[in-house]
Amino acid sequence: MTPRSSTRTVIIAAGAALASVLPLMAITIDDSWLVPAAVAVAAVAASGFLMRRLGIPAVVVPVAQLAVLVLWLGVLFAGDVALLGFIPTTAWATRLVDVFGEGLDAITSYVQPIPVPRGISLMLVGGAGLVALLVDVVAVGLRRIALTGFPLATCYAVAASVTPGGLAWWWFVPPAAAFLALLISEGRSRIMAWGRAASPSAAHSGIPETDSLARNGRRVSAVALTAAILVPGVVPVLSEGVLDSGRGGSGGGGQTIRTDNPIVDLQQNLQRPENVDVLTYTSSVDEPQYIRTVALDIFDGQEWKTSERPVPDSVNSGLPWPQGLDVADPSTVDYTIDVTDNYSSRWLPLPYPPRAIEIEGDWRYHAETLDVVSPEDDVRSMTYQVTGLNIAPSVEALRSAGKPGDELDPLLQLPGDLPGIVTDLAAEVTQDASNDFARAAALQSWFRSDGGFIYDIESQPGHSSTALADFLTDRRGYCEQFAASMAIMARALGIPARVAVGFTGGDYQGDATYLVRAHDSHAWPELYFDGIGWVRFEPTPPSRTGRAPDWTFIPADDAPTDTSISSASPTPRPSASQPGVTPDDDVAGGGGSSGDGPSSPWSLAVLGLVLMVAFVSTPWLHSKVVRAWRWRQTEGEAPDPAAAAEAAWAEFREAVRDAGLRWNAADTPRSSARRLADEADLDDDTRAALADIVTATERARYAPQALAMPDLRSDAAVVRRGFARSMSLSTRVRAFLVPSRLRDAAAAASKAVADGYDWADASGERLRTALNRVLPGGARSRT
Amino acid sequence: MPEPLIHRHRATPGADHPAELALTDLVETAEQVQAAIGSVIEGKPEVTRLALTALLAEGHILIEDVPGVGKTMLAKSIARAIDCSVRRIQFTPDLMPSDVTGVSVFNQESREFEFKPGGIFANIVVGDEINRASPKTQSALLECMEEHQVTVDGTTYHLEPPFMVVATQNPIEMEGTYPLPEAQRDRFMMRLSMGYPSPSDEIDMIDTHGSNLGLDPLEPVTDAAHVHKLVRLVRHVYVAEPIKQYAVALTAATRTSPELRLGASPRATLHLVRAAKAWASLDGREYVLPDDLQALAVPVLAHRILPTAEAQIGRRGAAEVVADLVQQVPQPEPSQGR
Repeated sequence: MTPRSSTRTVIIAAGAALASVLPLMAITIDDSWLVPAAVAVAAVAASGFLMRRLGIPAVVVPVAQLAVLVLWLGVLFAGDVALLGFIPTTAWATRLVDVFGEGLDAITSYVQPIPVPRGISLMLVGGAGLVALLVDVVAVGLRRIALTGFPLATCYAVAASVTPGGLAWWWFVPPAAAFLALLISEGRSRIMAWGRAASPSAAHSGIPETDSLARNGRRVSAVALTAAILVPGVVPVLSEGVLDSGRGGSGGGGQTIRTDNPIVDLQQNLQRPENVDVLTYTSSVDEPQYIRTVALDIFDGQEWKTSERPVPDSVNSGLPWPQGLDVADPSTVDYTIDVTDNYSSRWLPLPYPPRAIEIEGDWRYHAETLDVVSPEDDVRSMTYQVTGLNIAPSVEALRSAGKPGDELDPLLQLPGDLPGIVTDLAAEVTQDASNDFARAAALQSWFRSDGGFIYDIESQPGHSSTALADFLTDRRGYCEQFAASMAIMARALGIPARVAVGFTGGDYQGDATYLVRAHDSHAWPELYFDGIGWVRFEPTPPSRTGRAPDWTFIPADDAPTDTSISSASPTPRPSASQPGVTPDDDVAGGGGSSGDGPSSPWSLAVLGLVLMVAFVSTPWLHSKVVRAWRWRQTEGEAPDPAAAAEAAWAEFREAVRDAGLRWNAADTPRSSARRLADEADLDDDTRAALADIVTATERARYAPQALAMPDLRSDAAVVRRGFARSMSLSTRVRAFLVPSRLRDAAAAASKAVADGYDWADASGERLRTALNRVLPGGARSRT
Repeated sequence: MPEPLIHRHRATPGADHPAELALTDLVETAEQVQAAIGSVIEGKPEVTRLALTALLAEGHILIEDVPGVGKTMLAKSIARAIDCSVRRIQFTPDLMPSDVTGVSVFNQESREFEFKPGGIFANIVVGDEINRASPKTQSALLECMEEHQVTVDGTTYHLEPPFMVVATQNPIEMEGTYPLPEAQRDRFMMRLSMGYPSPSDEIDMIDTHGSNLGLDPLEPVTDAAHVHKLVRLVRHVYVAEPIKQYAVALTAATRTSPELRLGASPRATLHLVRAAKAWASLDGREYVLPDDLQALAVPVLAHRILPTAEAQIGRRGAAEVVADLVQQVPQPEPSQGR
């Protein structure tokens, strides 16, 4: 490898390493670590380059690079205890180890986005340096450019896997583009090893496609990159599936329970080998109480999650009245909650509904859910007092609950692609129930006993639409799926619902104290009834949860009474599709909500078909409209024969391209018409029409005066039909789906991307040329 | 935008325009000349047409081919078909520049120097085997070709229009020749090759010329003055903007082609467009088409360019390279709004 190409590879490799750590910006609060990381990358790359130039043995180079990296970390984090700021001492080493330990601790205790204390900073900077070292060794030392994809992708995967919900798609662009740049640079180096490479400016000479091979290569890579970004976005299942694959991984051994996305961590907590203590609480009424950490109020088809919540108000000023609760003066209960140091979370574990909280730090509430969360503090090892309300709604009150207000519409929303089995089962299970509460109770008892469900903590985690369909078929799962399914089915029946995540009541320790441990982690649905507010239900079978809440039992023979309240009001659905498309004969009275919305697969199928046909015929329609528009331009008050000729010519060209024949830009009108008429084997009428178009075009372009020819539009149509006759069926389909106009647009876009790469790739060459011009002496000495 | 295109071309002919003549006259005359030449040269209508093009475009022709295929015959028959003065200069190594241009001799009777015109003073000059003369003599001829005038002893003599030099050279007879430098080849508008006649044409030739190899059957069909008018008519053939762009693109492509060591000069562009005008007028068309440029690209450009050693090793001559370029250079896109 020539020194010059090796320089290029070193620079691009360093750039690629830096680009691959950029996605980590998405999970840190501030970017103060970025500049030190860039310096680390540069130091590693530069030291490697220098040592290779000096002929130091290849084995030694990475070790020395590592030393350089550690020295730089020392300057950053232990500069005050080192000699002259950088020479290592014992204190220096101790400090680095300490900071590293801090980083390890911090990593396990924070959820994203994480702040950047020095421990994390050290890990980020060191990590960037290590990636740079790896890439440098692989790309420059071993010259196995393709293998650099491994460290680069790993780096991206780390950022992607720890980010809840995955990284935004554009974070993928810098590392992927950098990797491409590395590959392209290797190609250049390889060619340059054979001699001087042709000047990149040759690509822009008048002769087209002299470097078509190279450009095709770049096109393939550009298309691959674009596809890699676009396809997961278009295919909904892939998006989360790929990005979230790392989430269930670690966490078995450590003591600390980290709460990130609470419901995701549920199974993990339930399966921990050690049943670590989470918290203890004392209750003034000496009864166990479910402790809730967070309410998940959005279901997006993949998982239940929290909505975007502004939390402006501190709990110190008191909490708002629970949503929907219309009881004059409920009794209060006092709790003292003592969280162990095993539990780390920004969400405050609380009984529902809390009225007042005494706690240190910056804790804020969300008014609708009464979730309490802190932007920076952690609940670990904290003790706090909570005053809660004791709500035990009566069956009568629940049964007579009115229709929920419009403000709860968001809590009824379901994704459009919900499997039919969910809504069908919901309607089937509740067909005998006459009001919302009766339906909720029927659902609960179906889950708990009637449906034959089995509680199984070993089952697959997840509660996406498809996972739920499996769950409802296999009837085997654990609290996550029970809670999620019941909440979704309640929503499908028009009852506002959400999923609460937290802990069951725990074990009694005497003296009004309860101990909650990791295996008490739990999820349950909360359903809304007007006048009572959010009510806990317990669909998880009794083997796990014991007795269901008192208020959820319906007295026998009581179900079909009181129809006056609820059956008269089929709940309006905000996102209902065409009602009435599907006959719903199993939902007779009061079940109007199950007949519309996602439960009508036929209407969805029809809609989908219409959309698909519309989508597929869009390019064809577009070409047609453009053609008509082009002709309109040429007619009107002042007919423009030249424009008409060009319009006819453009139509001819599109017909040719659509027919799959080659259009040669170097052909004159005459010669292309002659060649193409032969290739398409046109009949005499079509040839005559084509000859008219050629004459008109020649006159319009090259003669002093254009010739007005009245029949050009019909000639163009004749030509178009003539070429259409020559097409095979597959060509016709292609012309319909991807007309030449669309192909041109796609080609232009791809060429722009490829040229961008060309430009970027040649920029080093240009810079050197410019420098050589300025410093002629330096140039001689380098080559 | 009312009537945007109708008066794009000059509505009134220029001062130079021979108003009494139309393109139909030109086509008619050209057909007569071609028929006349065809009566003595069998089966070479393209070459004849190219030669006529050069005549009408005020260019000069270099005919390069093996001996005996009718190079000199072509030159002479053109001259004969047009009733105009013809001189033939047989180039030999000892030919002097003054033999070409003329010389001032002292007239004993008038006691004055008197100019004795050389071989160049004619409407059509046939320079036979031009590469046999010394470079000095060659340059004397080429200077006249370019300037259309002769300067001897400080006096300038103009050459009568129409003026065309038809030079021939043998490519294989290399001994004792001085190959024309590219700078001089550049002054010829076209290089033509006669090529061997087809077997049937050759049989016809035996029948026709078995007893008679001369130009006897050839009668003049027009005269120098008429040809001069036609030449002026050709100057007014319309060249649209895209045609100019295309001509420039063609010559520019020869300058950047990796297969060529030397590309075509700006003079080549000029010659190409001028020849295309004449070529179009032979079709009776008052405007140039890109097809005209394509048809003329090889004869007009191929002798001015030098292929690289790689192209030569690949047995690709200048003509092939030019023909390929014609297949590659895209037509200029018509500007928006037309």
